[in-house]
Amino acid sequence: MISYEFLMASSIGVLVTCGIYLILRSRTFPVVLGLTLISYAVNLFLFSMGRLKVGAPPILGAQADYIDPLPQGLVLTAIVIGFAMTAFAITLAVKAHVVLGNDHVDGQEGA
Amino acid sequence: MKDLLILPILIPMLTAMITLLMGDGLRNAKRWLGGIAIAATLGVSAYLLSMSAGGEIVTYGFGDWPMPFGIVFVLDRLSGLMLTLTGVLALFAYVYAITGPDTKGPSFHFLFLMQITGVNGSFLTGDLFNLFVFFEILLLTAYVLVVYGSGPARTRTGMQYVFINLLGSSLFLVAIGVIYAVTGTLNMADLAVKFAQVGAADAMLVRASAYLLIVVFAVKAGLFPLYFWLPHSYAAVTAPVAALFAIMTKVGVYAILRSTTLFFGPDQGFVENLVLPYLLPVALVTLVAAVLGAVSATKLRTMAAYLLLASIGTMLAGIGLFTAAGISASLYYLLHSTLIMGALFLVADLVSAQRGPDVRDSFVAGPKIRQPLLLGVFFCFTLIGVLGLPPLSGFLGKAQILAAAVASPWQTAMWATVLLTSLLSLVAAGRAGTTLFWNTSDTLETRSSEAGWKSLPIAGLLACVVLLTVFAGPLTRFTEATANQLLERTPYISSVLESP
Repeated sequence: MISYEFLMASSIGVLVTCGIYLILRSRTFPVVLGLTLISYAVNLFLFSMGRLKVGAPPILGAQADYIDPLPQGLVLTAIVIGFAMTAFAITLAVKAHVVLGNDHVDGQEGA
Repeated sequence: MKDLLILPILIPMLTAMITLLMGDGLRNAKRWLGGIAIAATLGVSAYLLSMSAGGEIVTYGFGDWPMPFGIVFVLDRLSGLMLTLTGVLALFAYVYAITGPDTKGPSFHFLFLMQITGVNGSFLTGDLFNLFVFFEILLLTAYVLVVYGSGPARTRTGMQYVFINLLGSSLFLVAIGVIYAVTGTLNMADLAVKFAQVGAADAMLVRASAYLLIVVFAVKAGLFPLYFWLPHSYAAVTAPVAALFAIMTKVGVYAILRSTTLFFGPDQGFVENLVLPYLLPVALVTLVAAVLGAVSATKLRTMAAYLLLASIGTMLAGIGLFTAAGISASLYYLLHSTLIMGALFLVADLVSAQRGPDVRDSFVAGPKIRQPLLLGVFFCFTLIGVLGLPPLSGFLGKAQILAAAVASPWQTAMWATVLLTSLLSLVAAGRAGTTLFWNTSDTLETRSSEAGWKSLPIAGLLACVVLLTVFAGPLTRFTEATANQLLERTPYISSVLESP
């Protein structure tokens, strides 16, 4: 039986690996995708910072076992900010393609 | 009284929202509104500075949550000083902006005010996640301001600026996550307590997160080797935005100073003096790399951006000494260099405009400058300040930093580096001045325009630098008190954690 922790850790690892590969590409779309994947990985990572537990309420004293709700609050903020940033990055990439005539991160073909 | 702490955020933010509601028209009304808001913010900041001057640490807990659970704003001497500096620089940059650059695109006033909100928030907050949020506010507006006015150069550097800072934000979040997982708190004063108690099992985790945090701050400050995004962005952006961005790198410097003194300092268990061995050498390498960049720059604005980096290197070298004298000297130099770098970006814009759209500020022979005397005086005055030549405050700042290095093991390296790079930047500045002002044809570029009101904010910034020089004595006493307050952590921690 694969544990919850293993699944969480390996999915974060895979997301970061793919993200880093993509942000090292020279065209803007893969880079934006890579940044998105990394931000997903970061969100999962933040989420797991409250420790991984199943079926524990986020309330002190209701049960012997409880889970810290603060990381989930942090993740919510991070998701919203990350979403806005991705939207902006995509808009900027499209604008760059229009203004510069290509989709290289350096703004020139073959650079 | 303590409720005033919220105003440096609230005034610019609410005014920004109002200017957004006013739509694309009503330019004059928006200009006045923004100007009044910035002046009011400056007034409040100056009052907060006077409040902090006595050494009292004022805290404002949002929603009156018991510490360390709620978000808290903390005002000490350093915060007060940085807030006031932001206000002064923003006011002059804004005056320059409303002489014309704010007509190049929509929502300029909104973005400018939100940028001030983000910067002020970063200086006031006492919570690590809240610091992240304010970083995001200032970054998101900076992303738009970088490409403000459009054009290929701005779009190109804007993209790189956005990508590197998005990555920086992700690293910041990872660092915050690990710190929270290990210590269970994100309140900076509480962290200062909890870091000292971290067990051996979590030593590597907490150190890794601390290094990540410093890397993020170093990206903001533009430290070697994380500065490559900076020169081309700063050289491409609209002049008043570049002038305002002079404070953005200082946000990174502030974060490094705050974190090294508050929770990565002495007696902190596994994160004890974590960055201290590296800060000074890295700062010196930054200084050398930046000055080499300034010498090889092909236009004035790129040179200005590299000189900005050089000033960061100098002040972080002073902070890296980690003595009261070193930090105090760096803070004085920070005040000076922020204002004078703002002025240099504005002067570069004037020079560029008067040389016409063909040559702009490139170091090549070009048409005659329309107002050579006015611009020549501005240029000369500003560069004397930037290079740290006597009699202006740049000289006093550099001399204090060098004096603070006496008897430290880094004395030889620091004196040699700072003095040699000063000489090199003098060469770069001399080359720039002779090319721009003397290597000219007799014809006047017909498309160039007179400086007019644009000389007012530049003169204002230069007057501030003169004031820094004249009042160097009291200011140095204040920065010394600030440095002592930073190194003496206990009052900070207790006033936050025991705040009612």
